[in-house]
Amino acid sequence: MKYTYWMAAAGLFLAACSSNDNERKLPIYGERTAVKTTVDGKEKTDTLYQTIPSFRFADQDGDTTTNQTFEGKVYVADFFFTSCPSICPIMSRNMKTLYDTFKDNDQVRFLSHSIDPRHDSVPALKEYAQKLGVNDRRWLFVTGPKEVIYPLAEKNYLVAVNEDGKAPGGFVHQGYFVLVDKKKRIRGAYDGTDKTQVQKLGEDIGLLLSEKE
Amino acid sequence: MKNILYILLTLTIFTACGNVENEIKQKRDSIMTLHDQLMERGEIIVRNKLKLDTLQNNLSIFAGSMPGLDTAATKQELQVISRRLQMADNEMSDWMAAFDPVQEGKSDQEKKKYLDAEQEKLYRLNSMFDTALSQSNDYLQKFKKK
Repeated sequence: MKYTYWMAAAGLFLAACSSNDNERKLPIYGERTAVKTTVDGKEKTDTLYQTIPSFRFADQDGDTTTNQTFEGKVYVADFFFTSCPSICPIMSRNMKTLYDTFKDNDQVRFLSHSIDPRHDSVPALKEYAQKLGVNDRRWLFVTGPKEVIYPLAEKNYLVAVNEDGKAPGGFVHQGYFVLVDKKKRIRGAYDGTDKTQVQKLGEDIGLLLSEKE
Repeated sequence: MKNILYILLTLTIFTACGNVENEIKQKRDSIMTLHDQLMERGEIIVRNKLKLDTLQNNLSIFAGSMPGLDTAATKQELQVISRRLQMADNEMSDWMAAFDPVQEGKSDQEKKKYLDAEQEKLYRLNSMFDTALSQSNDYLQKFKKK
């Protein structure tokens, strides 16, 4: 009888936990503004969240990658450079694991921004992608002026890191993977060099995909 | 007796090899730490350059609140400081592209010599960053007060 009681309690506990996980929603980072609208004569307040602004970069195929490329997709963004001797090889390996995990899901994309445009030309990015085993356009490696990429990183992609109470700046080369939802809102930042965090990111991508619009 | 000597000799060789390997690893780690610190400061280099370049194109706005501001001379100074930031950034970028931490096929002594030289280059780069950042910070400060 005692055994049955414990089994029932454990079952209830697990059910509660799994139901919590199903209901778990990822936070939305960045600035937000309250906007009042009137629908059918009734005043309604909506929240407008910070979104990734328009961008335009050259990718590893010599094509142009813009924010439109990620329309309706969940994507993971990071900042790297091909000759990086320290953290980038680990980050790329971890990102590749995610890329392989979601290979059958057309709703998931990856975007790596080079922070060394002086050396990371289109052919250099192509070679890097091929060495990693990336032969399709689900993972794009892009290059552009530092004056564009750095502010985009600091003021937009890395806002989640700033909100963690750390001093602003100095995060571009710290190996963060940033999760962006289908509405281009920032939903998380993860240490791309840490396998546990990358695994968590994989789970969070799953959560975003099942999130109701 | 002879056997003991052989064992001692082998142990000495192994210990010496281990020490050199350890030294190379430590040197490589210290280069990586320095590199990561410079990368972090590289963000400020880009940020300051962006501010200086924006300032160059908007000097007329400050002319009103800064009597006696010689816009032509200031523009020239801004260009010099901006170029210095760009040079420091380019040097760092070139160092990263050329640096080969593995040194495949090289002897331990050659690896050590190479890493010593690379560490020196990074120290020089660090000084270059110091000068470029301090000059640009000072200059930006002057305009911040207005």
